[in-house]
Amino acid sequence: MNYEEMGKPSKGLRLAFAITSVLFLVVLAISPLKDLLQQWKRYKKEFVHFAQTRPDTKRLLADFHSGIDQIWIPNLNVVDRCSTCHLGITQPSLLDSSVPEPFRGHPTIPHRAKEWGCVVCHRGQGLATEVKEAHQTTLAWEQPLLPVGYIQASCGVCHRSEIPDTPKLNRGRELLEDLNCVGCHRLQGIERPAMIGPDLTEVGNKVSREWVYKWLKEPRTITDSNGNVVVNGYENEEEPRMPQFRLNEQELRALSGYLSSLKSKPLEPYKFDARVIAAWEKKADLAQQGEVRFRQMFCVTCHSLAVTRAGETKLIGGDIGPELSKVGSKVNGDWLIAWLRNPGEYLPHALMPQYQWTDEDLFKVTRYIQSNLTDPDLLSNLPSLGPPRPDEIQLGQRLFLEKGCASCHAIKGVKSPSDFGPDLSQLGSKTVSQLLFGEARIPHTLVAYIRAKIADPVSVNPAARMPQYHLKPEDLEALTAALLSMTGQPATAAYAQLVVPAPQARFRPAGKFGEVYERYKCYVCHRFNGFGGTLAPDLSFEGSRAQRPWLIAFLRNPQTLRPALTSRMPQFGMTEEEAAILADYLGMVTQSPSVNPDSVSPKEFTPEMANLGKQLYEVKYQCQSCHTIGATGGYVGPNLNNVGNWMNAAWITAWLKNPQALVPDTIEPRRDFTDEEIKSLTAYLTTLRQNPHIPAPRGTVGTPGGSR
Amino acid sequence: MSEKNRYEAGFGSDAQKEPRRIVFITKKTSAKVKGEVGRQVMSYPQLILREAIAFEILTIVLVVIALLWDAPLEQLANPLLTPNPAKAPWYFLGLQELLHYFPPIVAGVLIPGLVVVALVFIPYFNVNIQGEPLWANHPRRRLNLFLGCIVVLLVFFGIYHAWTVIIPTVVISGLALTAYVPAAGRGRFLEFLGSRPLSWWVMTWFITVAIILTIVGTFFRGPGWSWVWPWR
Amino acid sequence: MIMNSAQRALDQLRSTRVWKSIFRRGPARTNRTRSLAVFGNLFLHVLPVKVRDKSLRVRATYYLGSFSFFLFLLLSVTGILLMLYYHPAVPQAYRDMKDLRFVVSNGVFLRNLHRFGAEAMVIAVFWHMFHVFYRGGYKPPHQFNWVVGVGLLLITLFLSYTGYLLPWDQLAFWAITVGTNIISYVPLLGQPMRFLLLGGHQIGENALLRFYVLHVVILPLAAVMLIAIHLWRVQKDGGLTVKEDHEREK
Repeated sequence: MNYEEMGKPSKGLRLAFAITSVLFLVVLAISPLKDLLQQWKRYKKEFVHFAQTRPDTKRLLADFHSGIDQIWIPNLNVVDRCSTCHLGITQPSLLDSSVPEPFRGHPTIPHRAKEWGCVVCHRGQGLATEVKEAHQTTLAWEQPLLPVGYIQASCGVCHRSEIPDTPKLNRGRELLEDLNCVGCHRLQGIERPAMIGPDLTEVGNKVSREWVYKWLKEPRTITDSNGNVVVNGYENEEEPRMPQFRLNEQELRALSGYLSSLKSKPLEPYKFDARVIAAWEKKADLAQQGEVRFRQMFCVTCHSLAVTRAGETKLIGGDIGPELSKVGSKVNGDWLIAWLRNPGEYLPHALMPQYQWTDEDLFKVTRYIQSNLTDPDLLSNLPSLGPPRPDEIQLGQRLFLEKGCASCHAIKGVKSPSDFGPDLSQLGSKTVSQLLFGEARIPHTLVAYIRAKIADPVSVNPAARMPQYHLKPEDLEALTAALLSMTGQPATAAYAQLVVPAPQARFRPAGKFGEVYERYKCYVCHRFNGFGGTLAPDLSFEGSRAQRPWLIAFLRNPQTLRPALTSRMPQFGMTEEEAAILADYLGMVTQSPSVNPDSVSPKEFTPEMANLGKQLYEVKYQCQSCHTIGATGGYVGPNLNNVGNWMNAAWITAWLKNPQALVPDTIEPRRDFTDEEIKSLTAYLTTLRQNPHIPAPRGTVGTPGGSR
Repeated sequence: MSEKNRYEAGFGSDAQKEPRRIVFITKKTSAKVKGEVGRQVMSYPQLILREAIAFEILTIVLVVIALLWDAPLEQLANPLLTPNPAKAPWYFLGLQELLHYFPPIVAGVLIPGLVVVALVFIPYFNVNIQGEPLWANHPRRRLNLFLGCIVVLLVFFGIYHAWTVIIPTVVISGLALTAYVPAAGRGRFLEFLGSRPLSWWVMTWFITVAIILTIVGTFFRGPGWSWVWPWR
Repeated sequence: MIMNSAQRALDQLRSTRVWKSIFRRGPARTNRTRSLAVFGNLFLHVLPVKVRDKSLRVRATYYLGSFSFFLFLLLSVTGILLMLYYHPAVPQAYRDMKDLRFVVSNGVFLRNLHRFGAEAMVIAVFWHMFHVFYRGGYKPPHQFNWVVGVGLLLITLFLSYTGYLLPWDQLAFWAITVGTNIISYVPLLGQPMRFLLLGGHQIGENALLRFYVLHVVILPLAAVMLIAIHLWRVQKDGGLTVKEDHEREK
């Protein structure tokens, strides 16, 4: 080869170079071309075409530009590019369902989409500009869109207090508390319920081993094949609190043996007055008399009974205490008497108030319960159990801890486990890869996981300790929504500022009032500054409303003010002194800041004003459509026959001015009364008295059982 | 090659039989290389053009891959959420697989350290200078030595149940042993094996083990570093 | 036809004064000008002017060394472009990955090129080393260049490893956790070394910054130096080791 030829590349080499060079340039051009065909760019173009078919084209395209749109909330660390494709989200004219997605508008909500973006509520990946990445679970984003049915969970992330727009979330939180989920799990903002499972320290005195066996096997409820919940044979609206544990025969025997062995000392039977027994023992209508007393005391305000009417059995009564239809077959007679006399002795935190019984009443009522509220079939079909063997007791004691019984039921000397179940305070922000689905054939999403876990805990984890709850579908959904709102600590300080905390107030006064208040468990039904039950009127401002003599008389012998209601204040048999303590405290402490007792002086009222007020009441404003005076009038509002003794004039005046300022959710309409009219009405109402107003020196007012 | 000639000869390349370069070292002068260099061509454009083609091919392949697949990206790092199993980058998965069997000090420090040291010192220990086939000289003695080493290695791996190491070790040493029988007329592959020197066998063993460990670590290890089948 | 006119245009360009002032030579038509083209060029002068015909054959090298080098070049270019979009901060780093994907034009493509290029480079460098070993390329006089090559291998691994953390996703975080845990097994020095590398006891913002600086400054500089030496020594050690035809037939 020629020396100079050494340097000359061959033709093949040059051709190869030419071909690779062309290919090289071609492949480099592909990516920029691909970039022009991105999904979001197509949607942008489509929107322009779409807007031109609408009458309000100009407004629709007012904010339009061809790049990526984003809502940036730096404080929340949120970048939301959803509106790049969802171009009509803020357009009220695109709300109609005929508008094709992704251009449809968003229904009006309290938060403006323009300020908050979408992902704060809907989740999903706000950064994404691709359909799949934005909405679904992908490798790089495991928090897909929240199904719309659970959207209230997002409200709960910030609104830790109850808001009226989120019924599902509120129900879910209520269930979380009622079912004592915090007994085993850590949950933010959920408190232990006022009453968890009963203390079992002395349960061996209360019930038999057979009853415990039956209860553990079918805790009060049986769910039939149609999904109907049956409570010892009767349908119940409320969810059962005691869940069903998956126990085998040996475990049932062991636990029932252990629990029935729990009694520190044998129960001493109460010694009735011999005269009472002599007088009542032989009477044939003893039980009927007991029933009458049972009704008079309004036990059904808290307890329900199965009542058969027209061939249909229903539970009638309250749900604060347990249903009592078969309690006579459940509890030991001596225990029942001891309990009724002083519930606090058996259960220090019982919700049951301590009634002041006469021997006669106690004898009659217990006899009624034991002979009439029974079910002979309750404990049939049980294996013969006999007294528990030591090994059964030992195993039972272990099972009591292992099964988590101690999370709801206390036994003196047995430590209740802390954090028995997993911490759920961040469940709502868990990603799919953090969840174990096991063999469950469900979609791999957080929502499906939570639902499956509550509905059937073993479906996702065969070794689950969580017992079986029988929940209605809507309750299951509500619980799921509430759990989805548990996203742990706010991610940023700005988020933390958005959180509206739930009121934490507990009203547990000390002193003499505190004692009486605890004895009669006022807070179970009444509310005090946001704490307590909702069955009976809110007493936060009772001191501004009621007059002391009336209060004392009412407490000693409650007469219903609202005849339309079935649940009524029970007759506790309070002493004069106790009633006075309550009335004094309420009068002093529970004053409304918006009622000035000195603003109205009843001395100013003249009969003319009262007459004018009567006119206004009957003619101009027709108050009788809701309120009763005399024998006529409606039943929606309280009876006003004795309002002159009942209410302070200042309260009446303030109430007429603006009822909602005093009781925010009252149904009393706010009318535009003139000041003159208010004065007249107040004057009229203060004249309404059933018995003469008696100026009340301490402790001498009213007669027990007196009529008004 | 004797005192008389005042020359000393040594091998300057791996070609023992037909040296391309012979280094003549006189006692007074510096080294001189005399030998055949073979046919040469100009770097420009012969080399440059080929390199350019290589570069373009490389780029084309890479661009096509980059267009077809996306680089992996998972969720935001979360120190509280440990994936099971947590895996190192793929080229360390062989090492991680070793860590599964051996104590960390052995698998994590000793073995990689030795590998690096060995790699650095390869050229300074006259490794494979002569390219002598493994069984060429003293076959008996070498066989005993070879078997001894293999048994020690296998026992060592056996103690730790490191069977993903044992299997390639057995395969490679088996191949080395088949080469022990004289290779004449037994097919090209066996002849090829028969002509391989010890260093070739060691390196091949090392590469095989490394590749198998890496593949196992990448595809066949699931939660808790348990064995899984990637296609299930 | 077109080729010819293109050739003519090129020739004319080459004879301009500007061209000559830059390249200081005419068209490379003679061996002398071809030699000038190599040693007169800053970038090409590490190459020999003449190479053995045999070393150019594909089967002699599979161009593995070239591929490794070109991958390094590609990674440098794509890496510098990626640096324009990247903050070594937590969690902005991850956000930047998202922006590359969803907002930056050709961002995914750029990241894909860099990521896959990095994996390819690790493979290419390993393959190159094994191939050189089987070819006997470490034998005298190439001993030192082999050691430089081992150094480059380690740098390549370390470059890839430090880059692995930068996206700050789960994959990155845990891969680095596993890797740095191995370091801590080194007796005595393990924990201090890990601390030095991470700038703390945990993988956090400091670790990300250190890995970033290592990845974009320290290691690439070291790699450039070693690559320069490596190429330079190929020439100085008498070119690539090639097997003669009769040797291969053996």
